[in-house]
Amino acid sequence: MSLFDVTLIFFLIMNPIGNLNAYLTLTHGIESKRKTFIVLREMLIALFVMLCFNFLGDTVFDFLGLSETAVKISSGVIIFLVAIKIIFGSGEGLRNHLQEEPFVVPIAIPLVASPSLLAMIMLSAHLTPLLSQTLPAVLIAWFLSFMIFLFAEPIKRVFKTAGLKACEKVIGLVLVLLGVQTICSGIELFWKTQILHA
Amino acid sequence: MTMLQIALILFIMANPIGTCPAILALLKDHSLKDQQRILLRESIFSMLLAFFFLFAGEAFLSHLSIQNYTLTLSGGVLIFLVSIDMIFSPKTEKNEDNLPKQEPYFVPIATPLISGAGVLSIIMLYSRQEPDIVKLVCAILIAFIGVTVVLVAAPYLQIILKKRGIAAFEQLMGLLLMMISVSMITNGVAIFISALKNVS
Repeated sequence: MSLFDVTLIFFLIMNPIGNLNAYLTLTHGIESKRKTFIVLREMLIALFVMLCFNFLGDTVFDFLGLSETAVKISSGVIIFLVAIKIIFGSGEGLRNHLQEEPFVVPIAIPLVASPSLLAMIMLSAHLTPLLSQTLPAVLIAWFLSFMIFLFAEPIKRVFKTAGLKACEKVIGLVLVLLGVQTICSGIELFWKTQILHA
Repeated sequence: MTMLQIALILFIMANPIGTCPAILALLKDHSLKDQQRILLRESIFSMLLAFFFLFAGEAFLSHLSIQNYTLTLSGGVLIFLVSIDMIFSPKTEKNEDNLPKQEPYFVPIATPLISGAGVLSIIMLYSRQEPDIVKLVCAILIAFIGVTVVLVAAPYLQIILKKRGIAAFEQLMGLLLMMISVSMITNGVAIFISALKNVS
């Protein structure tokens, strides 16, 4: 897989455009200077977590005795379930946290650094050359998401709520495809390793 | 193949006439004007999706390493979930006091019911085989104008069938959708298994 492919997958799973609505709801009523600070802080926290999984991915893999199959299938399932939730429901539950300013949860985790993203990063770190692919892919995808969150208000003004909703659903659809594909790749791998050679 | 032949094939695969009873049942709780608005929108979405897959479909799928069986499987699973909702939580009356009705947006009407795996796969196939892109663009336009006409006219069916008729219909349509979805899922699984066999 090329760098573009890996970056695209990370970016889609991070889903900043789809999450824009949720983010704006969560930071509703907070003044924009504070919002910028919050975005910066949350994105840096998310980046830190992502980099941890990036570099420790291999170690965690061996330490927990995880097979590539297990990680593939479970991250596929998570991506799929998140996508179904995007398509068929709305994240109404997030509104309950409006009392305090969001800190780490739910923006940095799980909105940005979601379990499926971290699993994918671990997988990618395990399988592809670290410095030339996974790391730059993580950084590029993170940077693009950061920009989108930073310019949340102008983007919303251009697309309007209906436009954002459309983007959300389309990306949800793509994530369904991605989730199903990841599960199937995991099953294919399982087939190859366990059934054929066992 | 002529432009009209391709357009006809696309129209048949999109099957608006066959799925419009089910789609109407899905939109049961909305007013006539709302239904037509939604159907017009979904029709346009499905056409845009068709164009996207014409020009960028193969590249897009290959970048994400998405195989053929995934399209069919995903479409099947999505329709399956919609059909479960239709069969097991029938909405008998308008819920006036509850939250504003969630209208179906893009899924499941535009895709996978209208522009589903079959339609999109054929479009991608044609994009590879047919040198004349303008012919394909026009064929898609014609096919989807047909789809739009059928869909926007469909709510008038309700006047004939009346609200109760549609409500009773909903569970039957749910059943129909479930069978369609299971068929898509089994097709997808079959292709997946033959892909597995080829690996070994």
